[in-house]
This record gives sequence, C-alpha cells and structure tokens, in this order.
Amino acid sequence: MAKTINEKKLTGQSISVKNANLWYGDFQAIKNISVEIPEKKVSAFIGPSGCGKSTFLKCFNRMNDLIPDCRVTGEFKIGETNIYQKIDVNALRRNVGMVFQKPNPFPMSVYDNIAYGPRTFGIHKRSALDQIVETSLKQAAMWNELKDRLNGSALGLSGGQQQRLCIARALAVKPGIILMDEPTSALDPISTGKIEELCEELTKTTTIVIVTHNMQQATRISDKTGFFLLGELVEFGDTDEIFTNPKDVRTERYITGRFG
Amino acid sequence: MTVLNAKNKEKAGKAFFAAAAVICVIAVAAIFAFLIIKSVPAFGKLGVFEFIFGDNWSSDRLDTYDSPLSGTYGIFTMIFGTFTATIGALLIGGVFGYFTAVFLAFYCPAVPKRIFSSVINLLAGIPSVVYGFFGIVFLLPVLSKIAPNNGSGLLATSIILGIMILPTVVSLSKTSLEAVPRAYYEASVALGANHSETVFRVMTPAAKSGIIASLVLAVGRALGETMAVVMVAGNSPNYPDGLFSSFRVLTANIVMEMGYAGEVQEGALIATGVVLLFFVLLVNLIFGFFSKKAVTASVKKQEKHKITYFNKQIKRIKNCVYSFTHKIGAVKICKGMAIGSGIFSAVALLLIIGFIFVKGLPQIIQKPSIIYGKYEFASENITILPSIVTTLFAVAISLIISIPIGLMTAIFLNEYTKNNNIFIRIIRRGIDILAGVPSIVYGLFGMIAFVPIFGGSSSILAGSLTISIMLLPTIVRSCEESLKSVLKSQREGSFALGAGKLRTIFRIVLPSAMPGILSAIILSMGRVISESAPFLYTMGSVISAIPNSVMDSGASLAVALYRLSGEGWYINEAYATALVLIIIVLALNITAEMLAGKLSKKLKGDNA
Amino acid sequence: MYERKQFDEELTELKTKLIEMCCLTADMITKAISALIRLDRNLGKSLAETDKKVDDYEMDIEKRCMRLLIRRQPVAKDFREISTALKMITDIERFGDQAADIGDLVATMPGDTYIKKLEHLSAMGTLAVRMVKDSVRSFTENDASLADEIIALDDEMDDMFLKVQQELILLIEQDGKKNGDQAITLMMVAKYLERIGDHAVNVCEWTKYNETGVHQKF
Repeated sequence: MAKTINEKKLTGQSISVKNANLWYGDFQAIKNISVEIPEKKVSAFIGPSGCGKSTFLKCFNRMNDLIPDCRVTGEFKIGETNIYQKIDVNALRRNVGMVFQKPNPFPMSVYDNIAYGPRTFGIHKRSALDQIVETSLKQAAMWNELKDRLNGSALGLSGGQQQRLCIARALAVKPGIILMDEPTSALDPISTGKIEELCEELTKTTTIVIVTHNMQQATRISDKTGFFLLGELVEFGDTDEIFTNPKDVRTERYITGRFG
Repeated sequence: MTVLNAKNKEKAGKAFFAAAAVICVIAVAAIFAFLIIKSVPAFGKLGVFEFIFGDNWSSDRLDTYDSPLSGTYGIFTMIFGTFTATIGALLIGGVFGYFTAVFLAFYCPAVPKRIFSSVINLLAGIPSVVYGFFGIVFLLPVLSKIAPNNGSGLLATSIILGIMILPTVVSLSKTSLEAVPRAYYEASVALGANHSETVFRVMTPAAKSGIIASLVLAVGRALGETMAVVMVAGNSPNYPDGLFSSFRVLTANIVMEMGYAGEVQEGALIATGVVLLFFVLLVNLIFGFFSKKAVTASVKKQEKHKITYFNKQIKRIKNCVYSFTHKIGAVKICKGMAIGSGIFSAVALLLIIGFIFVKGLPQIIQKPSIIYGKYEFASENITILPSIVTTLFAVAISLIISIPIGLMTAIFLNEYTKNNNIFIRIIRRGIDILAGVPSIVYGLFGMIAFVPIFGGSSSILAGSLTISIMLLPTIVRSCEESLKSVLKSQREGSFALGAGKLRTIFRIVLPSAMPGILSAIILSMGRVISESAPFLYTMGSVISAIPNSVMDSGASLAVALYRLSGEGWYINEAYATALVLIIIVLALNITAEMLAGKLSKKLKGDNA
Repeated sequence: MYERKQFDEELTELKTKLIEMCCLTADMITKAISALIRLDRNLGKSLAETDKKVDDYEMDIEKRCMRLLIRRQPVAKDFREISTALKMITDIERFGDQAADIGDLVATMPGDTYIKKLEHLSAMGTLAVRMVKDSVRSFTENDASLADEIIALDDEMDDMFLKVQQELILLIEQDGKKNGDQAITLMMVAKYLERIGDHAVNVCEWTKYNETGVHQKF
C-alpha cells in the first residue's frame, strides 16, 4: 500500500502558470500572471518590495494556504499536475522544497534537521537515514564541514552554514523543485557566494526558483529572470536578455535604478 | 489508504484540541450558571436593590425561603469596604510599585537588579495566607502601638494588600518600561537631556499603557483577595470610618459565614460572590476598553491632528503642569522617589521573608516532628504531615486535569485559528473571564457544584477539581505565550518539507515551547500550594489524619496555616508551616527559572 | 521619485569625453588633409604630437568605463552605453592613428609638386571628417538613423577609393619612373582615408547596438 503513495508522489520539475490571480482579502496581490518556468534551470524573480514575487513563489508549494483570507485562482501546473486541485498538499511540498529568507534550522541536531523530512515520509531505518544525511550534506557541499558535528545543535552553526543546512534539509526529500525566498538576504558575501555556487550546481538535478532583492545575484546565477511590479509579471525571459536589453520600459527603469 | 489515515489523524487531532477549548468555555458557562441559579432565589427574596444598597448585615442561619426573614442582608458596607481597601492598597502598592519598577529599570546596577527581580517574581508566588499571617504576627502588633485597638482595620488591610500587589505592579511595569526602545533613550540624551529627565519625560510616558495595565491587574487582584484581608481587617460588617476601624470586604463575607450558612444565608453569600464577580469583570472590561482606546487613539493621532477646544484646554493644563514641575524640579523628586521606593520595597519584601525564616526556622529545628509527626487527636503535638499529603494529592490531581486541557486549548488557539471567527472569540473571551474570577468565587462554585456530586461533604477530589478550573486560564495563557514565542519560520520550515500540522506541532513547536510550558506547569504547582480560598469549603479546613483516599477531606498547607494562625494557640506551628510554604514556593520558583534558562540555552545551541 | 544623479552625471561626463576625443581626431583628419593639399610638411609632422593626446583620451575613457563597470554594475541601457563606449574608443583612437600616419606620409612625400590634382583625395578627406564626426554624434545623441546614413556613406568612400586607385595605376603605367614613388604614397593616403571610413562604420554599428541591443556587422 505504501508503494502506491510513492508512485502518487508528484514528480514534475517544470512549472506552468496560466492566468494566476491571488487576493489577500480585498487586496489583489497577483494579477493575471501566466508563465512557463523551465525545468532544471535557475529562474529568478526580481522586483521592488511588495510587488508580489514572494507571494507568487509561495503559490508553487501552497504555503499561502497558511495565510487567512488568501484566495487563489488560475491554473498552476507542476509537471502535469494542477496543484490547486484536490491534491495531497504534503506530497506537493515534498516535491517542491523551500528555503526561506532567514535560515530556520529546527532547534535540534544537524542530523535530525536533515532527517526530519525523510522521517516525515516514513523512513526510520538508521542506515537509510545515515545515507540520506550524507548525500544531502554532500550535495550541499557541507559534508566535510559538518561530518564531525552531526550531533551538535544546528543552532550553533553560523548564519551561512545554517542556510546551507536548510538547503540540505530540503534536498533530503529529493524534491524536483526548490523555491528560494531571498535566501541570502541575511548573509555575508562569502556565504552568499557559496549558496549561489550551490544553486548553479543543483540545476543538474533540480529546478530552482529564487526570489531576490539583489539584481546582481539574479544576473549571476539565473538562466531566466522575471520582473514583478505591483502584482504583475512585467517581463520574463532569458537573464542575459533582460539585463542587457529589456523589452519593457518599466523593467529598464527598475534595473537601471531609475525607479518611478 | 495511508493518505486517508493521515488526513483522519489530522482531523482527529484538531477535534481533540478544539474539544479542550470547548471545556474551557463550558467551565465559564458552568460557573455563571451555578452562581446565577443559586443566587436568583436570594436576590428574589431579599430584593436586588435592598441587598446591594442595604448597609446592615446581620444574618440568621435559620432563615429559609419559605418563612419571613429574621436577619437583614445588606452588603453596601462591604462593597464600600472593598473599594476603600482597594484604593488604599493602590495608594501604597501602586505608587511604590511604579517607582520601584522605574528604579529597577533605570537606576539599579545590574547585579542587585537581577537578584531583586527574581525576589519580586518569587514574592508574586508567595501564598496570600502567608501575607495575612505576617500581618497578624508582625504588622498588627506594630500598629497596635498607635491604634486604639489591636491594629487591625483599614490601614493594616491596605498595607498588606499593597505589599501583595507590589510584585504584580513592579514586574509588569518593569517589563513594559524595558520594552521601550533603547533608541528613544539615545535620542533624548543626544538632545542634551540628562538621565532622569529622559527616564521621566520620555521612557515612562512611552510605557504608559503597560503601567496602567499593571495597575488595573493589581486592582483586580486586590478586589478578589480573600485570606490575607480576612486575617487583618477585623471583619465586622461596618463602614470603615477610620484607619483602625474593623470592616468587612465582600470576599471576607463569604469566607466568614459560608462554613455554617443556612438556606437564605447561603443564597445571600452566593449573591455576594455574584456582586464581587460583577465588579471584577467590570474592572477587566474597563481595562480592555481603555487599553484598546489607547491603541486606536495613538493611531488616530497620526492620521489626523485635530485640536478641539477641549484638547486645547488639556494642552494648556499640561503645559502649566510641565512648567510647574520643571520649576520645582519634579524630575529630581521623582528620581528620589524611585530610589527610595526601590530601597523601601526591598526592605519590606526581605522583611517578610526574613521574619518568617527567623521565627519559623527555630520551631522546625526544635521540634522537627511538626513536619513528619504522627497525627493524634486533640494533641499538643500538631503535625502538618497530613496537610502535606493532602496538598500533594491536590497538586497531582489538578495538574493531571488542567495541564492537558490547558495545553491543548493553547495549541488550538495558537495553531488552528487562522481566522478569528466567532467560535475562537468566544473561547478567548471565556478564558479572559476565567482569569478574572476571584479565587473565592471558584471556591463558591466548587462548593455548590462539586461537593454535592461527591457525597455532599468536602473532599480532596472536589477541591482539586475546583482548583483545576482555576488553573486553566493561566495555563492556557502561558502555554500560548510559549507557543507564540516559537518563530513562524520554524513552522514554515516544517510545512515546506511536507510535514502535516500534527507532526509540526509535536516535533517542532512543542519541543521549542517546552521551557515555557514546563515553567507554566511548575508555577501552577506553586499556585495549587499557595491557594487557600478555593479549598476552604471544597477540600476541607480541618487538620486531621493523613487522607486515605481522594474522597477524604483535608486541609492543604495554606489552609492549615490559616487555621493555625487563627486559633492563637498554635502560633509556633503556624510559623513553621509558613516557612515550609515559603520554602516550597521558593524551590518551585527557582526550579522553574533554572529549567527555563537551561532549556532555552540548550535550544539556542550553546552545546555545539 | 527616485533619481540616480551621480551615475547619470558620470555617464554624461563619459560622453563629453568621447565627443572631445572625437573632435580632436576629426580636427586631426582636417589638418592632415589640409597638410596634404598644401603639401605642408611641418603641419603633417606636428600631427604625431596630437596623436599622443588622443591616446591619453583613450586611456582616460577606458579607465572611466572600467570604473563604471566595477562600481555601478550597469545593466540594460547603461550597460550597453558603457560597453559601446569601451569598444568605440578603439576605433576613435584609430582615427587619430590614421590621421597621424597621413601627416607622416605628407612629411616624407616624394617630390615638391603633385603628379595629379587631388580632387578625389580631398573629397575623401571631407567625407572622412563628416563620417567621424557624425558617427560619434549618432552615439552621443542616440540617433540610430544617423548611424544608418553614415554606414551608407561608406559605399561612397569605397567608390572614391577605387577611383583614386585606378587613377594612380594609370599614372604609374604612364611613367612609372617619374610617378611611381608619389603614386604609392598617395595610394597609402587613400587607403588610410578608406580605413577611417571603415572605423566610422564600426562606431555606427556600436551605436546601433546601443540602441537596439543587437550587434550586427555591415
């Protein structure tokens, strides 16, 4: 019986959105957005604060469900599955991992942090967990740093390490997509560099969608860039194109710092 | 199949938590229902107006509802007495408390401040009977030197109540003073104001709402206080017409006569409880109204700055006061007051603890059998072992009942209430009301609701049930506080990994909130041990043999102290009991503090 | 409304420098042509000095561009403008080089009189000056259509070069001994002028990249 669930697990890696709208009460935060996010690429969303980019990101793993009075319309497809139909939200979130603005390791050991996800989905065998912890940490390029302190508290790590641990934690359930909500805004440049490096590395297996306030970051790591303004996706296209020759004058104004 | 199970599990979990919350609401409803049902005949027989505004109380236990009354039942003297005593307490405890808080927040060096602060916290946990006992054995003899009587009356009551509310005022005011952003201080000092000017012109006004809240809470505590007042007020049903005239407060009325009350008398006493409850809830309501108004007012001020004639006048008066106080150096006076109050409070509080220690310790050393001796009827050898056992029973039973319900309610309120719908609002309001109900009213409720169920006589079970309900609001609130302190990002992290709500609650939220929850549990234990008013007529007040079962009656330690101190012959044993009580409360408080500190340290990851 | 004053000022300064550099090279070409026509060997020689100034301009502008790239991390139009400027100065510097080379040729011109009338060469000179000036103007004024005009003008330049070439070949065929030395020198002058036209086209191509984001070779 357990097997059927694994088969049911969402596995898509591309995201396709058609006519998405989102309201917080009466306030429309997302206005009729359609976009195709390609698989195994880094897609970045940029835009001024409050433009809806984070909100849009949170639609992909339905984290907006946690917010009262939040209403979503339109079609969100991960692979072939429409995620706003009746689906198992937890299975969705297993496939669509998320890394947050501030590192949020759980107050437990490094090992338990990474094992949390797999345990949630019923993996309890020590050897299997050991394997997952090691693989995830290696994927996040932290194995050598942390292999001797797996039982130490995750809260004792530096901010940058904590954030990479959170990425490793997300990787532990083998997601097809990882959402990153300004993952480096609280970090120093070195840690930021490490995470950016990691993002590019991860695209071998994973789709990455990242929201960032740092345009240079988008230019550095993303293949696709989308510009949000007042709940609209003004422009979405190849990063090189957006940053050398944007089509929309609003994009141009924003990225060159002539805002308003 | 498994998916279905997981879903059902989530649903069942939510239902469980909601059920706990419903129990809280039912408790409130039950209290009100019982009090109203039981008091309506009395109000009918006596007349609402006559009862409240009549100023003559001479009850007759033989009065029945079917025959003409021979006693008179008017409680206005007591209403008046209650408010006079409360104002007196506020003058003493409020003023000293406020200035002590200022002293602690802005004038006290770090190390004494830490010690002082934990002593204040400790004092908030000391049983009210101990305060009353201190009044009897220390304050009354001192006052009697200048008083025409033994020293009891309004002044003694005000002082004792004032000292009792001091910790409440100090710790809450201090918290809100310390919450004022440091940037305000820096801004004021940068403009050239000195320390005291900054403290009294910038920091204190900024913390105004929190300070008022602490005072209102203190008023609530003073209104509802029973045992300490009973022990020093004199209790004759007169108007308090002098500092030393014997008077009676509403709570005292219930305690004094409930034990032997007849039919109409009992109704009248329950009606007294209803009146008391009404006043306490009114205070809470006013407080809620004012605190809400303070918030909206400050918002509105920013929205538009409209100066009406009235406001202009107020401004003028304010300016006058400001320049006047400036001239006479009010800030300097305030500074002096702050430092003076700090020292005074420290002395007063140390005096209480020190006095009990100095007097109690020799008793225990000379006659250790006071604590563990075998109980014998009518003997010279009083032992408090039965009381200790009774107290332990009460602690165990009440915690087993109230902790799960309280914690689950807190979980429901904090984790499952995305929308603030009517159901949630009812639960919250219910808990607020429960928190405001004076302990003697719980005692009344227990007596008319639980005692009849368990065979008509008081028993440990009835007492424990009573106190369980009383503990609920505090447990819910402090558990909710600790749940709230768990960062939202932790929950998001768990949800984002695909964990469900139950798993998130049990694996992420609860472990992080554990220090807070544990200290809530320990403080609840302290409360069960400290309380006496709810036990008097539910669990029993007779010091007898060690209870064999929960259906036996018995006096808890605090009740025992009340009994021993009231009878005069056993004053030495009373000292010993008071000391034992203080030591237990002290130990619990220190444990709670250490546990919280240790756990939060561990959670912060210092071990890495 | 948010304005980025500093960056815009720096960009304007950059453009001013570009114009100055361009004017300097245009002036050099004018002088080279007049030296040629009047066979003023001293004037011709003096151009080597001016060329050093052009080199200084190139270094200065290059430094400014790199500083802007590092400090402002420009994107979109800003990025295109700065990278255009950076590419452009190489061509503008070549303008100066060619003018100095022509001056050098004049200084060492064999013979005291010309073997032919210099009508086409002087026309090529005038055209070169115009192309130089307008190519940079098309950039500073964001004028893509002007750039297109210049690019079209290059065909004229090429035609005239062919005519000069044919004339000189004819002269050599007539009397190689008498005309040969000067004809070859004049041929080189013509080639330099034709090269100036090509560089002007390069500048225009970058102007067009700056406007459209597409770099296209003509």
